[in-house]
Amino acid sequence: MKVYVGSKTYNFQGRLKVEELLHKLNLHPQSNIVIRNGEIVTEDEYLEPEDEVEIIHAISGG
Amino acid sequence: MKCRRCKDKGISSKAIIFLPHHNLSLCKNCFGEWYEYRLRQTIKKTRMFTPGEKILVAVSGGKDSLALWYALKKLGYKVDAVHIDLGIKEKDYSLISREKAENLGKRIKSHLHIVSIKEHLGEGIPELHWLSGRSPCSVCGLVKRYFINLIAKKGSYSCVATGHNLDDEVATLFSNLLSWDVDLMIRQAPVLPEKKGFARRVKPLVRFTEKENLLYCLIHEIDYIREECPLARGTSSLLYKRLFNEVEQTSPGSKLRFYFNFQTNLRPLLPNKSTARLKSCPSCGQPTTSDNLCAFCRLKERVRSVEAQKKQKQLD
Repeated sequence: MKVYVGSKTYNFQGRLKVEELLHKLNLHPQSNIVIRNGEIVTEDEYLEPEDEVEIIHAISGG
Repeated sequence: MKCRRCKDKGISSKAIIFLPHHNLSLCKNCFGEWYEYRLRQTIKKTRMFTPGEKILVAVSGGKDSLALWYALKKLGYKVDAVHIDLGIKEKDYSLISREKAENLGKRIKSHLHIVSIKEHLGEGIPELHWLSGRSPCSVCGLVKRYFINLIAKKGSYSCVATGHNLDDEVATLFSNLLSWDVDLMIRQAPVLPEKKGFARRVKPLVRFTEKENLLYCLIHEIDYIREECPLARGTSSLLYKRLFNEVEQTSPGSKLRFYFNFQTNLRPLLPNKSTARLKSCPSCGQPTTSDNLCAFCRLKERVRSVEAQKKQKQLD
């Protein structure tokens, strides 16, 4: 599956739970929203190899 | 995961978020309703403002302030906004931020005041940071406070609403606690009453996390600047936010307890030692604790004198 995080793109093989993907990318569930094929998903959902995934980071500084 | 609210009504719908601190899973529609109900309740319970009052929202172009502006307008409050163009050229940060604010204003048909720092001071925040010797965040805060207060007073707004969220407030409280800065802790509250020359300041998003504000923007297609402020990289607030997210993960509700138990249990006990009296700046008339020019006018003087020196060198 293709995963977009900001300007970076990652490729992952096989089926993954959203929370596993966040863990692999060292991203915190408290501060990120995962969008699968245009739909917002919760951490217990599964992502399939053909899915396009976008992760949006919520934390801002200043 | 299913939406718990819909389930209670006998409907089955897919949740888009699980809020562990409320033990609540919500679908798109229920999240929007929950957010707006909670926002209205926060405003009412903490007596921030009433529906008839004229409110000025300070919008940066980021997700929190734009979500606030949109939600207040949707809930029927009398709201306008102000955007301060900070003159940060790196990655077109200020240009994009301004566009996001202007676009939302047009979309929701709400008036937006725009103040360009460069037009008023001749320089943007990066240059003012070097000229003043203050940190970028400090000089940015100074000029923002000055212009937002000026617009609020000139436009006869009852209060200024900012997009500070729970994560911001927790990070600030933790930072003040680390240095036991009692004066700053006293001033940290969801409502700061009007003082001589200073408009009332309120933080209606204080019960919402950054993630909840981001989600509100996404479901309402509110286009915000995703880029981090290039001058805020490496700030300690980002570290504290990461730290508290770790705490929240193992102990849901910690952020809300940390901030609101401080407000109810400790803040009322803190001695208000501030003896500083507010005076009017002899140059601009805005409130200041200084006997001479206010910090903003001193910054203005500094810019003028550096520019005069530059011109003199060119003539020489």
